[in-house]
Amino acid sequence: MIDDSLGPSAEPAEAAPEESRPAPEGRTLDPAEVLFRRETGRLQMREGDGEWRDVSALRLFPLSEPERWISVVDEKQVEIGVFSDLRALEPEQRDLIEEELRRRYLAPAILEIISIRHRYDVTEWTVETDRGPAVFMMRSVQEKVKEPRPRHLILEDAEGNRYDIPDIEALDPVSRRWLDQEV
Amino acid sequence: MSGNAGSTSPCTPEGLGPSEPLRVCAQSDLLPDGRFGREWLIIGETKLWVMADDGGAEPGKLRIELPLAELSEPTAHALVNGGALEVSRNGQRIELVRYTNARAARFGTVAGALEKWLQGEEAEVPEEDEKRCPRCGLPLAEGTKVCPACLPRTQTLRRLARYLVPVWRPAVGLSVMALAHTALGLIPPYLQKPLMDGVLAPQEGVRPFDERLRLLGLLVIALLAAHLLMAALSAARNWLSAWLGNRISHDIRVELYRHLQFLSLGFYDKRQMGSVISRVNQDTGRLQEFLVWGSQDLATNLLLIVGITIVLLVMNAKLALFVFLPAPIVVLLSSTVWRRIRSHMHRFFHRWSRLNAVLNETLSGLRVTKAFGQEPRHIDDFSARSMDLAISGTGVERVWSILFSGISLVMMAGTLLVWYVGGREVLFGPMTLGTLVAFLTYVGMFYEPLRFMSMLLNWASRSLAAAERVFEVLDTVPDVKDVPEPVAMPRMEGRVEFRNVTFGYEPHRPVLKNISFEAQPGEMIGLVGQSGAGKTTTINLLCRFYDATEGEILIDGVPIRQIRLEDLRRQIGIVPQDTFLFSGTIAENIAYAKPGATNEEIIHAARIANAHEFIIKKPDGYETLLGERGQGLSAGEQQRLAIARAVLHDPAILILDEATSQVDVETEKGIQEAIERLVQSRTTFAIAHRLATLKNAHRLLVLKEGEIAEMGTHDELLAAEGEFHRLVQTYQDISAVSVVQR
Ligand SMILES: Nc1ncnc2c1ncn2[C@@H]1O[C@H](COP(=O)(O)OP(=O)(O)OP(=O)(O)O)[C@@H](O)[C@H]1O
Ligand SMILES: [Mg+2]
Repeated sequence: MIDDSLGPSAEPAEAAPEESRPAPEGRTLDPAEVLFRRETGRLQMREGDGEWRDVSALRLFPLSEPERWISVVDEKQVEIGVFSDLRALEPEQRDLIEEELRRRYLAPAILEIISIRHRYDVTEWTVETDRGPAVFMMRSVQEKVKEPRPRHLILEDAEGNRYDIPDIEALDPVSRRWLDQEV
Repeated sequence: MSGNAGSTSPCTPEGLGPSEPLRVCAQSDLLPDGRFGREWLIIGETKLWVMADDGGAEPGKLRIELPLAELSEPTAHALVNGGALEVSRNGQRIELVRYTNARAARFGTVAGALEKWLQGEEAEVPEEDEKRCPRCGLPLAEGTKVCPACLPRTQTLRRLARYLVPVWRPAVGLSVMALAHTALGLIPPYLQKPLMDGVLAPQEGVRPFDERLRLLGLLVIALLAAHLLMAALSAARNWLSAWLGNRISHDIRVELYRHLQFLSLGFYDKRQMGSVISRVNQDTGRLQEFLVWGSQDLATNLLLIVGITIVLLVMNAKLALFVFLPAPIVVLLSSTVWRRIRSHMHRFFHRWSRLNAVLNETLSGLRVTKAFGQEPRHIDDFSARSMDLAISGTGVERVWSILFSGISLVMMAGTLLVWYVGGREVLFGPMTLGTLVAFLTYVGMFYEPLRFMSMLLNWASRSLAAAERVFEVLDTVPDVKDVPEPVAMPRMEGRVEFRNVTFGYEPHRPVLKNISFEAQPGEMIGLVGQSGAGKTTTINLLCRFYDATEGEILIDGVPIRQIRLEDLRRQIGIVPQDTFLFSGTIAENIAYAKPGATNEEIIHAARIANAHEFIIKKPDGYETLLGERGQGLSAGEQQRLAIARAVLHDPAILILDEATSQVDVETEKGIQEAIERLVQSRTTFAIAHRLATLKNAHRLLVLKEGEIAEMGTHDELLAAEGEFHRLVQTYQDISAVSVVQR
C-alpha cells in the first residue's frame, strides 16, 4: 500500500500505536502552512493540526545549496518534511530556521589565509574565518584536503575539525598564492 | 584550534562565592554565537558555572550559574564539526557550552558524568589526555608519542643510516669507489697541460722532437689508463649501487609491510588505502634512491668542489677568482628555482596518485559502470585527469628547462670571462696555452657540483620527508595490542560478558552506548536490530578489532585487553558480513586459518557449511582456482566457503554476522542444522535480519540505536510487546518466526 498523496500528513488508515511513519516519497513543506516558534529553548513547529515541540533543521546539500533543500526533523531525527527553498519563508520565520542552521553547522569558512608555516610534516595555518581568526595544524596536507566539487575545498585539521573554502577563486591573490603552494 | 590550554584557567573555586569542591572543569573552544573563543564549564558539588573568557589575563566573567538540583537531561548534541552541551531546567532547554570536534570527546564524557551526578551516582571524569607533543605543543599523529617536529633531523638521519649497518662492507666499498672515481676524474685535465705545453705547442727549443713524440705516446697512454680505470670503476659502482639499493629498499619495504599487517583497523579507517600503498612503494623507493645515491653524491661533489678549487687556485689564483664570480649566482638561481619546482613536483605527484585512484576504482567497479552504461563518463573523467597530469608534467619540465638554460648561460659567462682574461694572459704574458686549456676544462667541471649541491638540499629534505612518512607508520603503535604481560588462554570456555561498554569509531560520536550483557558457555545469542543499530560494531569489539572507549569486555572473567591477542583470535571464529576470499584454490580458502588442515577436515567443514555440493560440481573440485576476492563464485557460494573457514577454525566462540544472508532458505536450513550440532559446545553470536535464521538462538539481544532495547528468550520478548515485537510485526515474518521456540 503506497500512499502517494503529498499533502499534509494524510491520516494513516490504522494508526500504529506511537509515531506514524513518514510517507515514502517524503513531504514538501509549504511555507505558507508552517509556523515556527522558539520557546523554552526549543524550536517548535505547527502545521495545521500537527504540533512538534522540538524540531531542528538540516541541510540536504550543505555544500552546494545551503539555502535550499532544508529538511525539518523531530527530536528523534525523523524527517517531518523538506523546504525546497528557504527564501520562500516569511523573513522572521526564515531567521528562526537560519539561526537553527547556524547552530548546527559549525565548520568555519576560510576568508583569508594569512600564512602557512611548515614544521616537518605539520603545517600551521593562520587564517581569518567567518567565525574569527584561527590557527590550526594539518598533517599530510595532500590527504586531508578534499575537493567535493570544483573550486570548493574542505580541509581537515589534525584534531578532526573541518574548514571550508567555498570558492578558491573568491580568495584574495595573497591567499591564493599560499594555497597554491600547498595544494 | 591550538589554544594555549592551561595558561589562564579559571578552574579554581575562588570567586565562585562559597567555595566547594570542584568535580570537573572543561574548556570549550567556541562562544555561544559560534565564534572562536574560550569558555569553561565548571561543575561543583551543588552548582555548575560557565565562565566566559573576557580576553584578559583574568579568569573571566560568570555567564551561567545553575543549581544542580534543578537540572535534568544533560545531553551532548552532536552537530556538524562540533557539538553543544545542553541541560533542562523546569522544562526549559539551556545550552551550556559549544565546542568543536577537538573537544567533543571530552564533553561527551562530561555529559555522561553529569547525568550520573544529577542522579546522585558516582562518576569519574578522567584527566584530559592531551594529544599534543609535550615539548612543542603540536598535535600528535594518532598513536605516536613524539611529534616529528621535535625529532631532531640527525635522529632521522641516524635512523636511516641504521639500514646501512647490515651492509656496511659494500657500502664502504662503494664510497671508496666513488671517491676514487672522482679523484681520477681530476687527472685527465691535468695531463692536458703537459700535453699542450710540453708536446704540441712548446715554447721554443725546450725539448728535442723525439722526446716530444715519446712524451705524446706516454701521455695518451696515461689518459687512456685513467679513462679505462674510470670506466671500470663506474661500471662496478653502478652495479654495486643497484645491488645495495634494492637490498635496502627490500628491507624497508618488508619492515613496513610487516608493520602494516599488525596495525589495527582503526588506522585504516582514517586513511585512504591509496596513500598507504604509496608509502610502501613510492616512499621506500625515494629512500632507497637517497640512501644509495645521496650519500655518494654528496661526498663526491664535495670532493670535486674542494679539489677543483685547490687545483684552480694553484694553477692561477687570479684567473680562479673570475671562475668563482658567477658561483653565487648559480647557487642563488638554482635554489630559488628549486622552490618553484618543488611545488610543481608536488602537484605532479599528487595528480599521479589521483589518476591511479581513479583507475583503480573505476576498473574495480566496471560491472556497475557497464550496467548503467556510464563508460563515456569515466572515459571523459579519466581523460581530463590524464590531461591535468600531462599539463603539470609539462609545467615541471618547463621550469626545469628554464633553470638549466639559465644556469648554463651564467656558467658560459664565467667561461667566457676566463677565455678573455686567460687569453690575454697567454698573449701577453706568463700563462701557457696548456694551462689555459686545462683551466677551462676544470671550470667546466666546477659548476656541475655547485648546481648539484644547491639541489641536494631540496632533494635531501624531500627524502627526509619521505623517510618521516615511512617512520611515522613504523612508529604508529597499534591501538589494539598486547599488554606487557598478557594472560595466556589456550583454552576458553566461552563465557562472554559486556560491562557498560561504550564505543565510537570517532570518539566524539558514540555508536554503542552502555552495553551490558552476559552469554554463558555454549549459549547461542541472536543479535537483532535495525540496520546501523550497532550489531557488527558489538562483534568488532568482541573480536578486539577495536578497543572499547569505556567499559570492559570479559571472556571467562578475564578482560579481553589482558588476553593474549594470539589466543583470543585463535578461539574466535567469525563469518563476517562482507565475505572476503583470497585468490587461490577453494581448499586453501577453507583452510585459511589452519594451513595444515587435512583434506578430510576440509571436506568435513565444507559439508557442514553445505558447500560440498556445489564444490563437487566444479571441474577442479576443491582445487578450483578462485580469482581475486573470490571471483568465479556466486555470493551465496562465497558465503558458504566463509562459513566452512570459520568451522574449520574450530573456535570456542563462533560469530555469524549475516552469515547466511545470501543463501536460499532451503540451503540455510541445511546449514543451520549442521551448525546446531556444531555449536553445542561453543558460544555463538548470530546476527540476522531474517529473524527465522535465529530460530535456534537461546536468547535474543535487541539493539536499537546503539543501546540494548531488550534481551530475553523469544517468547519473553514477544510477550513484552516491545521493540522485538515491533520488528517481528514489521518484517511481516510472523509465520517464519513462530517456529522460534525453545
Ligand atoms: N568504520 C566506521 N567508521 C565510522 N562509523 C562506522 C564505521 N562502521 C560503522 N559505522 C557506523 O556505526 C553504526 C553501526 O554500524 P554497524 O556496522 O554496527 O551496524 P549493523 O547493526 O551491523 O548494521 P547492518 O545490519 O546494516 O549490518 C552505523 O551508524 C554506521 O554508520
Ligand atoms: Mg552489520
